[in-house]
Amino acid sequence: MKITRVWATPVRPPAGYDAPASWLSESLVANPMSIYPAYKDRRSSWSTRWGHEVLIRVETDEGLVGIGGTAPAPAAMIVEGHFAHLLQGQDPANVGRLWDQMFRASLPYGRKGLPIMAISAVDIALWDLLGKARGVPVYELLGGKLQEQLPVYATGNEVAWYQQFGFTSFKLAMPHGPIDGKAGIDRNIALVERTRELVGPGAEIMLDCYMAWDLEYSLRMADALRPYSPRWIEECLPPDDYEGYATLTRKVRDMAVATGEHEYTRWGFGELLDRRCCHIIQPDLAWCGGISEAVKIAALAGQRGVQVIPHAGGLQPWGIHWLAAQATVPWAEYVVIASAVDGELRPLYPFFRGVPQPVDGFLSPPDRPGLGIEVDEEWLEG
Amino acid sequence: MRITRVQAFDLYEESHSWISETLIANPLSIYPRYRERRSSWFGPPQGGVLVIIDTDEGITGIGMGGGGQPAATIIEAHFSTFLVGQDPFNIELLWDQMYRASMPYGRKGTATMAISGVDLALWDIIGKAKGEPVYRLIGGKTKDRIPVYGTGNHLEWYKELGFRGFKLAMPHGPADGHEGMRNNEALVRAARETIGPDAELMLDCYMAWTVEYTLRMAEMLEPYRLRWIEEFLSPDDIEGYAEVKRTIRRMATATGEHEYTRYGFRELIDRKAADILQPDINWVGGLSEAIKICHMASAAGLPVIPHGGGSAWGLHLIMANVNCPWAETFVEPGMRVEDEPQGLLLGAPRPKDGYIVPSDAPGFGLTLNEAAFAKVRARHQGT
Repeated sequence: MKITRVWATPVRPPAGYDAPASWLSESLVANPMSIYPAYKDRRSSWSTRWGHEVLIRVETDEGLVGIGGTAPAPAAMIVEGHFAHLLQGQDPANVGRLWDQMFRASLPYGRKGLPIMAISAVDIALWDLLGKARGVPVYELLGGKLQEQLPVYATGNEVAWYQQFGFTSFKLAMPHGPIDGKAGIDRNIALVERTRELVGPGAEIMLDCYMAWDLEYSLRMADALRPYSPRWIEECLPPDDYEGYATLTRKVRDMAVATGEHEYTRWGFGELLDRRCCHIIQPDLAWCGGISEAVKIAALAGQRGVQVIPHAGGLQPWGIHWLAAQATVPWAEYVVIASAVDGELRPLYPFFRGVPQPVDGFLSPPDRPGLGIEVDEEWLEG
Repeated sequence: MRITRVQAFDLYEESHSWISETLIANPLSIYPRYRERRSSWFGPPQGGVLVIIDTDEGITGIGMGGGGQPAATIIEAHFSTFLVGQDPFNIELLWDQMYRASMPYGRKGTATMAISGVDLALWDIIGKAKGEPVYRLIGGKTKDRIPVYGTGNHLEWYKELGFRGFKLAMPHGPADGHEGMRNNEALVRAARETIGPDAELMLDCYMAWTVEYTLRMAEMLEPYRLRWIEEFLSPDDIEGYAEVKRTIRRMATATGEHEYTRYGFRELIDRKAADILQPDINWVGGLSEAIKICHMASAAGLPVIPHGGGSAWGLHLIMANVNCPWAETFVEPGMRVEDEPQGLLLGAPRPKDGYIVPSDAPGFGLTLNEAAFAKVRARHQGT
């Protein structure tokens, strides 16, 4: 089987699709730009203006099409303008070699960020292709369905609403950071306190801090949080501050430190692990280098007894397959991008058909070949 | 003064030179299909990006970044948010906002190359507004002139131009076995004979080797009095760089061409990964970031010899920093140094008798060659 075509297609909502703005971009959530008043109130004030993400697909001479991940729009130029040349005419079964060649060829402009996101999207398409070619779900290629049911935790601050869907574990988005001073700490704590009262002593609560804090603030917050028994605090510091993470991990008590959403490749995660920067790593399979790289990263983590709980794993079809094949700790994150006023959960990828949705706090991996999804062509026609 | 417009032009064109068309060890040399020439795997996303920033006072800044069309899109469709309407003098603020806002998809590579182009254009504006060359705004002259070294394997030509330092591109790597090692050695031996005992000789290994291969090659090359060996490992292998630096004898190690920001260079410095740091001003985060890296290196007692430092941009950094002793130049064989290339940007200083100085014109001292730019502009409007 040979690859004949690799292409990127912008994913646009079809006419009439109602996509309400998400709390993720439109509410007060502490973020790396929070120190600047002009950009503090909502992430959309500083987000990119390059339009819709692109869906990567890979076609073969046997007529099979591998559906890949999506990537930020400029990644289309990396995939179509560079990687396609390395992939065309090659056998997709040699995914390990193709990954390595994309990584090496992008070294002059890559290593982290956008180019690795582009590799990730292609890699996922290759795995979908391999599953389809062999007639097995991707989890079979990764070691089998070791988990029939993946426990899911919900990310967002409308916890009472999430409880209606059967979620029992919750990750809160911290609204405040160092620029908000002591009053901000008190408001962060009040949110956690309210949530603990709501969910009771047995439920897990986590905190997401989206690169917004500094070391001193994180230590103060962690100290103030101890009465509420959070399971972990997440991505408190900018991802380049390895030393800060290592200090935080050494000093923090009664809760774990998690990070890795904006880390890339086995080399980046190797840094986090070697330097004991966290107790839990959170690669995003659509960003860290794809399914292939997540397998390697998990091997490194397992060797050190560090848990892997992928960023957005329960929203991503590839994440669900990968999680199903894990022997332990298959916790799936479900970022609730909708709000209570919307009345229902919304998938992150409304243009994929066949992505399992959580039921009573659990996800079941699909048993169809490949990732088991189809693309709603309406979204690709704009 | 306020920024009124930010434009970014992808300059990628398939070009052919000894760099792309001869046998040079590279990260893909282990694959026979890509071994012979880098053009077999090079791609558009590493093209230069010309950044042009207009202001309400009629001053226009010219910068150069990397990252090709993806970086040009990042600049126009993201970074412009933080630039248009702002005072270009607030360069620290603007840099920090670009860095923070690109954190979700950046940190290294394309996004940082995009920041670099913007940062250089901002410095160009400041220089032009003050009527001063940039080096006079960041520390002035630390030397009267800057010695250059020539990169490439055309030593006779560089010698004729008066260069006293020479950097060879190693053709072979681990995939070529012992015969390749002997061929590498033969090239170094011939070079030492050509340039004589006192000229400096360096080796560029472009991310192609491994720790074991590097140590074996270094031992074989001990008799030739090498000044340094450069970027012999993948840039992610910081431990490997530190091991080679600890173990190697009779030559220095250099790296950093594909490292980014003060955070990346902090790792190289703290972990003692190299004797010489080589940030590329058009990729590492621009002049603002390169200055910080020079200062960090100074505190650690390390020289900074920027990748491509003989460019119109790099010379200002080198002139203004005591710990930047040399400028790297790429000269095509046969090109006379007084031949002004008919490129996109005019006014780049050329080496003379083995030395070079930055332009004394305001800013970086470059002007757009309108005839050449018309083609780039037309392509930009077509996208």
